[in-house]
Amino acid sequence: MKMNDLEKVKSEDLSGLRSSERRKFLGLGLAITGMYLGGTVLSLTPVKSAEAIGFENVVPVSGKYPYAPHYTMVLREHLCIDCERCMEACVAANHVPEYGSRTTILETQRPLEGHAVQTTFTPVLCNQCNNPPCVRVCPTSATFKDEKTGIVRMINDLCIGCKACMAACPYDARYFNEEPDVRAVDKCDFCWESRLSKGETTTACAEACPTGCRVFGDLADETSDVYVLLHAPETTIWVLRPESGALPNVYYINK
Amino acid sequence: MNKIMMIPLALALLAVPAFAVDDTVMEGNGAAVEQAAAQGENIGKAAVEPVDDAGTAVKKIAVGGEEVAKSKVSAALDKAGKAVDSTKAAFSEAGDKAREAAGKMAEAVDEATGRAKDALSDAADSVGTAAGKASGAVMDAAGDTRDAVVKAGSKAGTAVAGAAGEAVDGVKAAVAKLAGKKEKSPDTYGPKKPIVWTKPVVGAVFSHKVHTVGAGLDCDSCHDDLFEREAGISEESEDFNMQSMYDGEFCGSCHDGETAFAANTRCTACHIGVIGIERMNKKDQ
Repeated sequence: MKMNDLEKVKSEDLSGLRSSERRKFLGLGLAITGMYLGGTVLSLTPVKSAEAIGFENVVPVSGKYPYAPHYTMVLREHLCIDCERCMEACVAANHVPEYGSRTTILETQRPLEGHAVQTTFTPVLCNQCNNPPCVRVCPTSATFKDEKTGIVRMINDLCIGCKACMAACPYDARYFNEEPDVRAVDKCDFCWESRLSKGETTTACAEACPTGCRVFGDLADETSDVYVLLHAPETTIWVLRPESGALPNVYYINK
Repeated sequence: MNKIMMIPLALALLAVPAFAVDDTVMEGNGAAVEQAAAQGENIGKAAVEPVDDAGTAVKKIAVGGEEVAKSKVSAALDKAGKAVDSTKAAFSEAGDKAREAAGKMAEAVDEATGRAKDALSDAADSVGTAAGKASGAVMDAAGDTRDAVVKAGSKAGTAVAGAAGEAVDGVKAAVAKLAGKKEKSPDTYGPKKPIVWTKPVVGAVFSHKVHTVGAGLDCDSCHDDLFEREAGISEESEDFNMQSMYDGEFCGSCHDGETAFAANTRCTACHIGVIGIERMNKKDQ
């Protein structure tokens, strides 16, 4: 456009902006600010009403298990000695490549009296959430919640490798398997493909655990070890990152 | 008694200047002056008698007081003597005990000296300092005691000082031995690094130092009945596992919940895991 033509066009600078439009814009800004401010103020509500995830939602209540069998893992944290036999067994059973892992062990250290330190090892794996963020974000439904067993599984052929599920997972329990025959995100499926679907009753990691730290079973079965452990008196049960609202099926106890 | 005697004396003293004034006023009046002088003389005489009495009384009191004072001083001397004796006894007892303790410690030190010559020589300076400080403190205390005894009139100060000297020597020796033992305690005779067990599970460690320096165990507490004096022998045993320990074998001999924490508690105190081993190896590098 030549300058002569350009001068004929209506100016788009602020001088042409009417005051009513300015007010409207300012009002919009204030509304957005107020919305965030309101959220902050609301977060100062008392603890009781702030329990966004109710007790009954995190810790299982007898007779309220959505799946049958309702596969669950209980980790008796104080028994973990980081021998990593579970990790080795998992690699062997599920062909996990060197750069990936379906389960890992975290270490925390707490200072005791004097110069002593207490080490705690925390095994972490896919929590098979009842409200899985990974499933929510998957654009191709490559990952899904098994309606029968509650296990969060993968259909490798549908995975496009966008890694949105890896970002969404609160437990960092997914990795991308780059092997030519896989090329998909891989994760713990409670050994469904490698063992449970073939008639085995427990996972490779739980079977390999020498201390009884990992206990696997059907929570809907009242005779199972997991049911007994999670319904024993004087037991503190906790889950990792309850605030995520993911409602995990992997529980931690110290008994 | 004294106060009553003092009244006429005071009157006499007051009368003298009073009459002196009258003297000047009543100049020329001889009779009055003489009368006044006579009165003054009488008063003076009257004053002298009680004063004499008082003098006698004071002398008597002085004699009596001397006796009392003598008896008191002798009693004080007796007490001081007894105190000196008991102090002496205490010091000599302390000296004996210190010598005994020093003897015992000396044995222990001698036994370990062969293995810890270097550590001992390094420790010499600090031992000297510690002994010097201790002897200074004891000498101060002895000095105070001696001063107090001398003040009470006792001649036994030197004896106490002698006893104190002995005690000081004993304490000095004990402190020297004790300081020597503390300084030489690093476990130079065991394995330098923690023993890492890989059977039956990886990632368990045993620190020799924690058990010798930390827990103060002697060699024969564990060797050679429980464990051979060579790393890795135990883990070759088929029954080297936690169940054996719960049954009182191996570590379970002490780690039974009474002598030391039970083997089925505090797992990660020994099982530092693969992560712990990796960290340990990194530190070594």
